Amino acid sequence: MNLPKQFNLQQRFYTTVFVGISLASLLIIGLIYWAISQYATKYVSDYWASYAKTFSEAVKYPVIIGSAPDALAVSKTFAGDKNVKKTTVYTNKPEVLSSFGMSLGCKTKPTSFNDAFFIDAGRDWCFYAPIIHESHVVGHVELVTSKAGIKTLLLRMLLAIGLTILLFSAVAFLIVSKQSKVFTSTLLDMESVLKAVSQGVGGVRVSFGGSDNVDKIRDGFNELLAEIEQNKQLLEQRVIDRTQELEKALEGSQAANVYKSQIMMTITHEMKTPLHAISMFLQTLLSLPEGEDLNSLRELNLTALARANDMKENTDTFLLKNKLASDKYDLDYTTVDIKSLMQACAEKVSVLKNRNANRLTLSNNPLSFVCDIEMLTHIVNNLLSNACKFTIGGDIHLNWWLDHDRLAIQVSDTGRGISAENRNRIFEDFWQEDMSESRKVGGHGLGLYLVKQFVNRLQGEIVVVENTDGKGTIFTVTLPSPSDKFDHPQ
Amino acid sequence: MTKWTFKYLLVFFLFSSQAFGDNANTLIIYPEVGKGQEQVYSSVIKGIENEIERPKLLELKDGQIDIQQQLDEIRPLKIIALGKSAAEAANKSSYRKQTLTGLSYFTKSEYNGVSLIVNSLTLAGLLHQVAPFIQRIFIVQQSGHHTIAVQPTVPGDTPTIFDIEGSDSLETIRLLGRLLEHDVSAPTDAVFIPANITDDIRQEVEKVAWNKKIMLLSTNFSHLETGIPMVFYPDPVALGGQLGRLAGKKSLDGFENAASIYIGLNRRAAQHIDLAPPSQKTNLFSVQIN
Repeated sequence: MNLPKQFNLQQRFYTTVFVGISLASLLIIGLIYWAISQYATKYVSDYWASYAKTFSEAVKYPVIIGSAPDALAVSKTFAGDKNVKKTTVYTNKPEVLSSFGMSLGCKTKPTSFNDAFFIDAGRDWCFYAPIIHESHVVGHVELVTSKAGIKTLLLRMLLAIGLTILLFSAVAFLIVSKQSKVFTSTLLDMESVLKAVSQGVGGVRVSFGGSDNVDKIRDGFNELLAEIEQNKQLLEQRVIDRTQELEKALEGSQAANVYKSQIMMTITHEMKTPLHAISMFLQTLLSLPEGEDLNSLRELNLTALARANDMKENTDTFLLKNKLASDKYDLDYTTVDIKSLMQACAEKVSVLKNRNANRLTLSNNPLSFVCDIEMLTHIVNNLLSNACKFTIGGDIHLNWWLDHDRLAIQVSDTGRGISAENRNRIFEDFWQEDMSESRKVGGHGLGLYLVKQFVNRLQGEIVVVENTDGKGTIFTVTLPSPSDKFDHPQ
Repeated sequence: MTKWTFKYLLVFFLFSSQAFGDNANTLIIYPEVGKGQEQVYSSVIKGIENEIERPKLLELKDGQIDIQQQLDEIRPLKIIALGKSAAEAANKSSYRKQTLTGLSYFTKSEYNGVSLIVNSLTLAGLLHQVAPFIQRIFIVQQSGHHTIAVQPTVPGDTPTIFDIEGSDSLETIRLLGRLLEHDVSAPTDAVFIPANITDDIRQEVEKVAWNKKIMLLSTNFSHLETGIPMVFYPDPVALGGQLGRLAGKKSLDGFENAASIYIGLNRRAAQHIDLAPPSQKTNLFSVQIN
C-alpha cells in the first residue's frame, strides 16, 4: 500500500490497521449477510412451501365436492398474510375453482404434477402444491408470495450486522491503536533520536520503556548510540590529526620546495664558481700581451685546470651520489695500508688546510685493514676536507687504530662546531648549516651524506660528538672487518 | 330299544360330542396388536370362551401371512380368526372351510363368521330410542367398504333409511358433501358418515355439520372423540359369544352381523345439536365422553 510520504510511522501503522480492519469487517459483513440471506431465503421458501401444502390440504374438501364458495373462503383465509399476493385453487382439469388476490408474476401455469415446487418470479415466489386425496391428485393450489418482506428483513439484518461489525471494528481499532502505541511510540522515539543524531545533536537517548524486552531494546539502542558517538569522536579526532599531518606535510612540501631551491642554488653556485674562475683565467690568458712570460701562462693554466678539477670533483660527487642512490656501487675489498692512505688524504687537503691556516696532525700508526679503498678514501677525504673548511687557524687531528678487529678513524677539529639540534641533520644530502647565498663557506652539502652512505655500506658506524674543550667537533668512524672475505692481517 | 335304535343313538352322541366341541381343537388366531386394541380382542376372546372352554390361542406376528405350517402342527378342527389380517391368513390356508371370521368387516359372500357390519334396521331402532325426533337416516358408504348392511325400509317406518353409495372415495365424499350442503336439515335428519373416511375430510364434514347442526353418526368408535355426537359399534363380548355359538354349530358356514350394538355418546357434540337422550335410555350408552 502506497501511503503519502508525510505520514509518519504511527500514522502509517494506524492507516494500515484501519484499512485492514475495514476490509476484514466488510468481508465478515458480506459473508454473514450471504449466509443469513441464503438461510433466510431457504427458510422462508420452505415456510411458504409448507404454507402452500397446508393450503392444498385445507382446500381439498371444497375441491373434492366442487364447492367454489368454500374454496374461495379457504383462499381468502390463506391470502390473509400480508406477504401473500394471490391464492388460486385449481381442479384437476385444470380449471380455476377459486382465486383471490392479484397475480403479478407467475406466468407459468403448470398443468399437472404430483410434487410441490416453486418458481422464482423476480419480486415474487410462485408456490404450487398438488391436492392429493388417497394418492389421487384432485387439483392443485397456487400461492403467490412477495419477497418484499424477506428483503426488508434482510436489509434490516444487514444494517444491524453492519452496525454491529462496525462498532466492533471501531472498538478493535481503538484497542489495537492503544496497544500498538507500545510499539509505535518506541519506534517514533527511536526515529526522533536518530534524526537528532543525524543532525549532529549529541547525547540524545531514547527513553521508552515497558516490558523487559522493550527495556533491553532501549538499553541496547542507547549503548549503540553511545558507541556511535564515541566512534564519531574518534573519527573526528583522526580527521583532525590527519588534517594536521597533511598541513604539516604541506608545510614540509613547501619547505622542501624552498630547500630544493636552495639546493639548486647551492649546486648552481658550486658549479658556477669554478666555471667562473676558469672563464676568468681564460679571459686573463687572452688579455695577456704578446710575449708574456711562459711561467705566468702556465700558472694561469694550472689555476684554471685546478678549477676544472674542482668542477670534475663536484660532478663526480653528484654522479657518486646517484650511483649510491640507485644501489649500483659494488664493494671492492682489498688490503689497505691505512697509514699511507691517511697521509695521501692529508696531502690532498693541504691546500685547503693552508688556506685556512689550520694545523693538521696525523697519528703514526702503521696498520693494514681489509676494506674498499675507494670508499675509505672518500670517507677520510670528506671528513678532513670538512674539518679544514670549517676550522680557521685551528688544529685538526687525524687518528686511526684497531678496536677489537674494527678500524676506528677519528677526525677532530677546533672549528666552530655543530649545534646539537643539527647533528642529526648533517648527514642529510644537500644539507648545510648555512645555505644562504652569502655564506662564507662553499660546498654542495653532499660530503657528510656520502660519508654516512659509505659507512653504512661498509656496515660501520659514525659518531659525532662535541670536542671536549667545547670547541670543534669529533667524527669517529668504526668499520668492521670483513672476515668472511679476507683474513685480518696482524 | 332295537339294535338300529341303539346305533342311531351312538351316532347321535358321537356327533353331539363333536358338535359341542372337543374344545382343545378350537384355535383362535389374532394379530399382534397394541394396547389400544388389546382390550377389544380380549373382550371378544372372553365372549368366545363363554361359549367354548379352553380354546387354543395363536398370536400372529406383525406382517405374518403364511400360517399353514403352524396350523398343520396344531391341526385344529375349528378356527376363529379375529381381525382382518388373521382372517386373510386363515382363509388362505387349507383350513378355510374350518374357519370362522370375526372382528372384521366382510359380507356373507366373503367369509363365514360374525361380521362387524351392522344391520341398518338395528341401528334405526336404537336411534329411534335415543333420538326419536330423527325422521330420516342417510347412510353414506363407499362401495366395497360397507360397515352397515342397509335393509330396505317399509314405507311409513320411522325413521326412513336412505342408502347413498359412492363408487370410490372421491365420489363418496362428493355425495356426502352435497348431501350436507343441500339435502339434509336439522334436526330431523341424521347422516352416517363412511367408517373409512379420512381424518382431514371428516374434519371438514364435521365442520359443515357443526355449523348446520346436522347430526352425524358413525360406526367407527374412534370418531367419537373427534366430534361425532354418537357412534354405534358392536359389543365385543357379545360378538365373541356370537362367534362361540357359531363355532359350536355343526356346520361352520354360518354368517351373522353383529347383533349387540353399543352406543357411544359425545356429550358436547350432542349438546350442540340439542340431542338429549331420554334418561330411561341412558343404559343404552356404553360410553359417554365430554
